[in-house]
Amino acid sequence: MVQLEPNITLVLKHLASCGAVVSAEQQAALDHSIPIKRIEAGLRSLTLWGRLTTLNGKDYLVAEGYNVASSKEGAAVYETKYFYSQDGARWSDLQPVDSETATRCARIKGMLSGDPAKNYELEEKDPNAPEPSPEAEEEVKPLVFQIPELAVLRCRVDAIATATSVIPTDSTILNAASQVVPNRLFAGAAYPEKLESYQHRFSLPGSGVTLSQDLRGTWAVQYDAFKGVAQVRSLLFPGYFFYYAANELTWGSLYVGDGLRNNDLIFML
Amino acid sequence: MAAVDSVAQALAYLQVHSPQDGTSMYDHLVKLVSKVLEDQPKNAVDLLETSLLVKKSTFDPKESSPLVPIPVAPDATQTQAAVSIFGDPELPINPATGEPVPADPPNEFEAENMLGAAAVLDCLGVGLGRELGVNIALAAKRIGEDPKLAVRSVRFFGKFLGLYSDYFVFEVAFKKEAAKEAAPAAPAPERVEGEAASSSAPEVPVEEPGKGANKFTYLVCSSLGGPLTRLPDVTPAQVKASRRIKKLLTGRLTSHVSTYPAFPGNEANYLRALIARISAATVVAPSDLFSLNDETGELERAEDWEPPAGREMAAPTAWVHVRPHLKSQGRCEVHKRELPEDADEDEFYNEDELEEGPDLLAALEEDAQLPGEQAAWTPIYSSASEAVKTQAGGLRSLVWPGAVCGGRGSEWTCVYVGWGVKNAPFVPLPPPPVAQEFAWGEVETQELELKPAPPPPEEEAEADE
Repeated sequence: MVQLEPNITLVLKHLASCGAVVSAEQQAALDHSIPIKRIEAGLRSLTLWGRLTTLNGKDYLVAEGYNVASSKEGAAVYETKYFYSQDGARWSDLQPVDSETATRCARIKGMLSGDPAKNYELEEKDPNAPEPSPEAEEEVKPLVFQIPELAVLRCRVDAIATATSVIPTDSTILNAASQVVPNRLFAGAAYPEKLESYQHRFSLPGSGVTLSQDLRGTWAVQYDAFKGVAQVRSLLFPGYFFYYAANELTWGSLYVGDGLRNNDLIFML
Repeated sequence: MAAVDSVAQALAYLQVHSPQDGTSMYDHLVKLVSKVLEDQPKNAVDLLETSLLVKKSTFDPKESSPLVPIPVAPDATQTQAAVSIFGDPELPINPATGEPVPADPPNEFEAENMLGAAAVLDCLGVGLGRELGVNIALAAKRIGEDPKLAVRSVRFFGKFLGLYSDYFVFEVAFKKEAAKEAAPAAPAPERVEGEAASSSAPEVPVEEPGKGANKFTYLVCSSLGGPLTRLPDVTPAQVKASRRIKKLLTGRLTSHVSTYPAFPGNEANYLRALIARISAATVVAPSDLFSLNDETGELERAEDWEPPAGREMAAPTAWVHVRPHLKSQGRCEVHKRELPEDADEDEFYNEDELEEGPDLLAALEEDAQLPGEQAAWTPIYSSASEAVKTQAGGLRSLVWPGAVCGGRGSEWTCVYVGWGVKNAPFVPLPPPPVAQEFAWGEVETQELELKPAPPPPEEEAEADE
């Protein structure tokens, strides 16, 4: 039987060796809180997506859920909803941000503070301001934007999700209604030690686009042929780990990190 | 039939195989006739397509990629090795008597309560999880018990993630100083061209085994229970070089560290240099637990230590460094050259030699801040509620992401799990200045050398005489 959604317990078990763990209390809480939130939000699938570390120690746990995924303009579009929690028990919505705020969020560097009510102040040059003239005594005041921490959190989650979100190739299929659904006849990856066996969730099933088409050197695969367990690690977003177990035909991924992209990767290979 | 003389020749000609798909005219005609007879179309002769169709619709099982993939031969060595750490070690059987060879008495060693440590880390949501913690504790016990290694103490240092495989690192101290001889000699610091700084700077001697950055020896394995490799001692040049580069580990100790500026040594040396830097910065212990003995310079464990309660462990004041600070010279203890009699101390010594770092047992609070006045350590708690009484508290390092320490009651530990990358703004070194062209002034002539004049024949004749 092919899995319909990742199993949190198995994900944590297989990825613990990479350091992708959550605290014992949170893991216990997730067992109850995820099903509750799934019903509350009316979602077909809801699973733990990852953990973003913060400066005050109250890390953000992020859960990701969706109802349907459809094929639009040559890509699989998942209508994902994200939720965050700091204790693993109570989940709140993580609202999507518009593209203008997203570009501003990308300018905020460093780890998140861990205070959901915090606002980051971002100064920007006023585009409508008059040309600064040397005679003018008053300086042109820059525009100050208040960027809430949750917007930054959502932006980072989005950035990671678009660059990662790995599933095994052919584990999804298009149905007659142009929806992307789990492939119940998925027979397993033929070569789990190769990047060709894995794809991004948003590439259409059967399109042949796999992780091997990504920028070279951004992924690392380790495969234990005896246990049939492969680990795929993102080097662009260190902290994103994916596992695939060939014998039990399960897979899943988890992100545990500060949410920042590794911009120095080119020097590190 | 002028072109061919006999039937045999005609057949031979028809049966010549096409180089393209390996069929011959003879085979094709046979197939064509059989197809016409099979289908029996009305006007077979008018259908040119019949001939084409036969050729096109033939299935040709070519030798191509197999439909069923050849599985990678499963190698059970790792898993077998991991199983072997459970239970008592199996003793080899003496073939003469059929009895097991009597084992040497197990070595006595010191170690922290590693299962307790794994539980603390599991509470805090750091480290490698409880299940792997059991494996690590048993692997460390196997190292400690080994009478051949004869270690005095063993500790799990952490895990380094690599591209192709990972490193589990164990920190050991040997009982006998004789182990010094067995230690692989640190490779002579290679002179690297372009490394102008080091070639002009005075040679800094390596710290002896058992001292400073080489106080402990590190054993690494890529899988628990697997073969252990002893890392060579670290040299100051390697520490200095590793600070200038940012590099992912590959998972193979012998691989070349391909960076600019060049790193003197292979990945084993690079890993050892990283360990030296990480341990100096992140190996910590609760404050008041250790005190410095002024005479021996060793740390002494306090007998009456009251562990701080719950969340107090998550304050930077509750922890102190128990490893000496690694100076920019690449040594823990600054090496100073001999001062010439007529030289002034401040002028003769360079910056490295005059550096004074924090003392041993300095509180984490005093660690250098990160840019933006960000403290180097952030607190972590095991519970979202403050009211939980016996909860664990700890600290997470921001300088070395992946380094954590934590404690609950009298159990405490610190560990590193990460990629071996420091959280510091990385500025790649610019390439070396372009080599200068040779000075034209020093060249004797720019033209072709003149043909040497032949010796005059008279002289030759004279010489003969």
